[in-house]
Amino acid sequence: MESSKPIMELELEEDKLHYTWKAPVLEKKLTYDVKKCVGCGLCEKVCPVNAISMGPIKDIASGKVEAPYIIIDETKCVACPLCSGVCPSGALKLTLQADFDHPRVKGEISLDKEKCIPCLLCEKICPRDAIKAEVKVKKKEELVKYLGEESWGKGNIKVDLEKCCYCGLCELLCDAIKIEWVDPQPPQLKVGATVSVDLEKCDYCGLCEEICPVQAIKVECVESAPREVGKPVVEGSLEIDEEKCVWCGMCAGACPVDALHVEKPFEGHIYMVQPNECDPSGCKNCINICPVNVVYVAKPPSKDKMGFVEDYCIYCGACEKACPVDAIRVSRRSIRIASVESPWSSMCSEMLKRSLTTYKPPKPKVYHRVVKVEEVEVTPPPPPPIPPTPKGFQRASKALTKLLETITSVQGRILFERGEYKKIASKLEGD
Amino acid sequence: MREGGEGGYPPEKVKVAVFVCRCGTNIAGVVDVDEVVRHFSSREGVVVGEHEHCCSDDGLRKIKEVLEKEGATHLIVACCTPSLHGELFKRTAEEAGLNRGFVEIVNIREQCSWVHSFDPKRATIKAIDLIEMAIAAAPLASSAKVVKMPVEKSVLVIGGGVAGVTAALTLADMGFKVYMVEKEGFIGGHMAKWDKVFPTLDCSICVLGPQLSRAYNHPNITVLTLSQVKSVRGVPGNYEVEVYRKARFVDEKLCNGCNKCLEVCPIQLPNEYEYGLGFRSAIVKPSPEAVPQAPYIDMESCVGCYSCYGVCDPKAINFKDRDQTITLKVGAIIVATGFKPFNPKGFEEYRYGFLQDVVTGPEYERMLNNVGPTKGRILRISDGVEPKKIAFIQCVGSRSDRVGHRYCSRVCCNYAIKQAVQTKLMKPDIDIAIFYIDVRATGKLAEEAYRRAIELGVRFVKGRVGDIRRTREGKLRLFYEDILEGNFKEEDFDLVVLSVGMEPHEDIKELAGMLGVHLSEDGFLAEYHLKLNPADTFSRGVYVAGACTGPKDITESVTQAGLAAARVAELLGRGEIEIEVYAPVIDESKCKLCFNCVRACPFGALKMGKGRVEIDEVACRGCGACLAACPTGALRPPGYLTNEQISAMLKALLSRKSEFPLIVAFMCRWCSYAAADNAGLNRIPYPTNVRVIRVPCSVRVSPEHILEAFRLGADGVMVLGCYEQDCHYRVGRIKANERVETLKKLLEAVGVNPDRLIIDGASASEGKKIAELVRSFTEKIAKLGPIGSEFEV
Repeated sequence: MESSKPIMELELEEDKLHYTWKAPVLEKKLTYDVKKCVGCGLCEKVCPVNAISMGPIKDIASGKVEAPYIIIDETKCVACPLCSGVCPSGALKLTLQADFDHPRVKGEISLDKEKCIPCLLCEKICPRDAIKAEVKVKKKEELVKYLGEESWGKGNIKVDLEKCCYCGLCELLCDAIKIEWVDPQPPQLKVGATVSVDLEKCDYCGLCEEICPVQAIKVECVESAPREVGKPVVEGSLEIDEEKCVWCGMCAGACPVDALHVEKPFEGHIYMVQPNECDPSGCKNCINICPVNVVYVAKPPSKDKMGFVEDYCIYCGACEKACPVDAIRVSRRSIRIASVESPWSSMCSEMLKRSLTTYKPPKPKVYHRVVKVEEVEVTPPPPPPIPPTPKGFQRASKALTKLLETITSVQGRILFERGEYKKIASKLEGD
Repeated sequence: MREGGEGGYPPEKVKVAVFVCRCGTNIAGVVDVDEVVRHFSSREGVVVGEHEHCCSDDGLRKIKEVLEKEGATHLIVACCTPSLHGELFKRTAEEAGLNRGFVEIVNIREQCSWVHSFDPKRATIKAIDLIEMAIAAAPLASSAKVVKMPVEKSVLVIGGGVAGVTAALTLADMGFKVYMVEKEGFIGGHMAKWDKVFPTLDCSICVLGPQLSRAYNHPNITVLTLSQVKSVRGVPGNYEVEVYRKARFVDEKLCNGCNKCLEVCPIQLPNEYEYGLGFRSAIVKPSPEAVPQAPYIDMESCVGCYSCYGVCDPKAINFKDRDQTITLKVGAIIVATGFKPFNPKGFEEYRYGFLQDVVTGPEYERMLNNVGPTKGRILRISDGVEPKKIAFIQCVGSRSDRVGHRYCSRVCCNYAIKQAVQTKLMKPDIDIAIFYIDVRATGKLAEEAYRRAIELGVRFVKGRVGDIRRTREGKLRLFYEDILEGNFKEEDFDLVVLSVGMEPHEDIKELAGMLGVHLSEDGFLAEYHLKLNPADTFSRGVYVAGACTGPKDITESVTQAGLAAARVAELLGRGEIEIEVYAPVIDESKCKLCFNCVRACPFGALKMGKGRVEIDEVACRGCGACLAACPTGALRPPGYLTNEQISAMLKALLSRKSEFPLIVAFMCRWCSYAAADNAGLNRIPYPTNVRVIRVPCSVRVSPEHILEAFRLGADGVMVLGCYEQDCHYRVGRIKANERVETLKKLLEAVGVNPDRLIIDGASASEGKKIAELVRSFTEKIAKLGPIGSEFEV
């Protein structure tokens, strides 16, 4: 007999778990990418069959254990679009047939190509490595043409480190400039530590001053050999990988020319409660788990122990889950859902809203009661053993055979139909 | 046939036969019939007769005799309301060779003798006045036009419950094409939900199931589920109905009923079919025996997981399905929309909605059902424990002024007895008490069932339950009055069943408006005549069956459905139907091409043509708006009151003032005239000062007539129609409001007190309202004094 119930198969592939829901007419695949998962737990909130449970997040965040943040119970999971729709980092993905798409919680990122220079800033600041910037800057050697034999210049150059945004264009332009690149850390989130100019190499051509988008370099050429200085040429493009982008907006915040516009998928608030319990020197769970690296140890005059760069916080709530003393609260107040033209998108979107902390489920239209019915198992008693054939069976069989012969005779039957059993009985005795 | 042609007979040839009916003592007990006969006996051109019951065989024979012997050209019968026997007298006249347009009925019963019994003298004067008006109008009558039209031999049945299915099967077996429109996703209605029916304890779905199956698969029946009627246009025999059908998302033809989809759906929601007990999934099929066998997807609850799609072998699930509007052409409509169980949240003392172990009768019935939420086990909802004591409380939501349902719901005593007997047969140890006011076990074998219940040990306690409280052990304590013992008691029970009554559906009002059907005072649909015509309505071509007209049991519903089917067959059986044409005729010599009539028509039946007005006979509904808008009287209606006739009536009435105040009331035949008849039926008295002129709609009333009435000496004029939203001609009442508004301002401008003219409305069952309107208006006019007093100051 063919199995009629759909089965869920689990396949492991490197860092990905593939759950394949197999049914006679359709196969659905839910892929869980362990590396992409941030531990926010929003999938647990929206799952309609409670198939998702959180793993040991606090221990994973502190580094004690290496494990995936969530556990999906394949006996319960039906591979519906909800967890895949809410996942902020794209760790959960549902695939069906070719043209299938479902509502998703999604931010928006848009690039104004006219404004974009391009430069290296967004690529360097993006905490998810979602931006690739291809920047081609014409080297200073190509742009400065010395007319005679000599090639020198004298003057002053000053880089205002307060203004410098570390876009990296000056370094690409001229070998005399060196930027000390660092990993951006909250709250300053600067990608560079300092800019240094090798005065030996610098000929005060002023190209760096021109190329700098924030006018952080001031060059004053006092004297130089006769030369022609061209205009800086910057070419290139940005490639934004929407699979990796979580719409935190850091790139938009850093962009010196406001070329990027980002809308976050959630809007809300993140704050600390019971700050006395928090131990920033011993525990670093929230800093470790934050997918966009916006958590930092706060300094006075802040009363809280930890600080959050709320502009770029995506309100995923992973830090709230990771905190061992439950000192962080993340509230999600509004949600941005990219809907699709499907008849089910209204309920799907409604259920995605369960990820909001302010969500109130709609009141049922009928007076709902849950009835407890206990299954009553009635076990039937065991059947009695079969007795052996009795001794008198042969005689019984003989007597019945005689009777049969009587009533299959014409006379006997006539008597039978008339109901004259006495006459038939006497006939039997007679034979 | 003797025809009068345009303008009627020349005055010399006119002979009016007037018959005054005694109606036993109904009329003769108040109105002095002899005096009336005497008054008209020596009138030239008039021949008078009288009879005990003009509508009887003998009476009709006499009328025909007089018509033929005297060579009468017009017939006036002064008797009961034209709504009752008008058709009968018109047909009798036709048999004697008269056109039905020359027959006039004068209402001296419902609107005279029955409401003016306190003053026989003035009632007699009023009767004489009304007959004078009719006599004056008679010679100016225009002949009625009747045409034969082919009809659609198909029927629309609204509602797929036991009444709808019975009517549909009866008609389909007769050869008619039937469209059954059902709002829910499955047919069967309430009967399909019950476990067993009284008094026989037949399994409900076992007897209904085969009918549902036969109906669904019948070659002549098309079942449209998840569908509702959106609009109805047309005339009897030729209706055009728009049905809005919600998408099912499951192909009914491909589905094989395996039910695998129901098991895989991840969404669980409160189950409305089980009145909120338990869950259902987003793909819905309430029970395995549901017809059609294909479930439907409640798309508002579906998240698009495609699990149902994945397990459906015949590939019956189609997410591309969309809502659609279907247009049907039918010849007749049967309304079988049924009822709604009463929601006992209106009775706080029973704590329904707060204490989970207080359930309604239908919920208990679902518990008894083997495929219900408890799989046939009787359990307390709060803890799943089997109850040892059950209380039934009767008359919840019926016989109650508190919730505005005065009626008895007919079935509750019988179904409570049935449920008690069923429970006792299943579990004889459960103690059952039924708290009643009266035990109304009527119907075949019902008393026997009552006796059986008593024999099985069911306790019947006469008294009302005043309060229910939860005890610390979780039991329900009932505080009640034991009337037969004469004291107050309290007793603990485990489960309380409220025997709720029947209510009309909330969308019944909208549907009634669409079909032109009235509502009775209790909110259910009104049948034409409770005793003799329970399946007809006031709208020809629309019939009713089942609980939509009032609480009834399954036997009565099935009976009424059979009658409705027979009436439909009567209407459509011959393939053609006789209908009266209402469209007026234009006297082009009088027409000044002002096109007022074109603008006034709510149905676009009059159009501006080249140098003439074009009339669409099929579109005209006979409201009379054009007649009231025409300044020259160029439009003549066939067979109903012309402008000249109304003028003649006013002149005859106001030539001598028979009483003060003298008020002329124009009443629309659909609502306010019917309401005045209703006042008569209920014998609600009101002053005699009104003289009624019956018009098709309040919009028919011409400003000329109102002004003439005042000019000739009327002290007050009432224009009474339907309520604005109920007007049978859609916007008639609204237009009439505008005309009266304008007229009142003009009256004020010329110095006549505008309060002498009012426009108001009532619905057909509001006899009390009409009586009150007449009373208060008469009082007001009496205070103002006779017309003209305002000029004396």
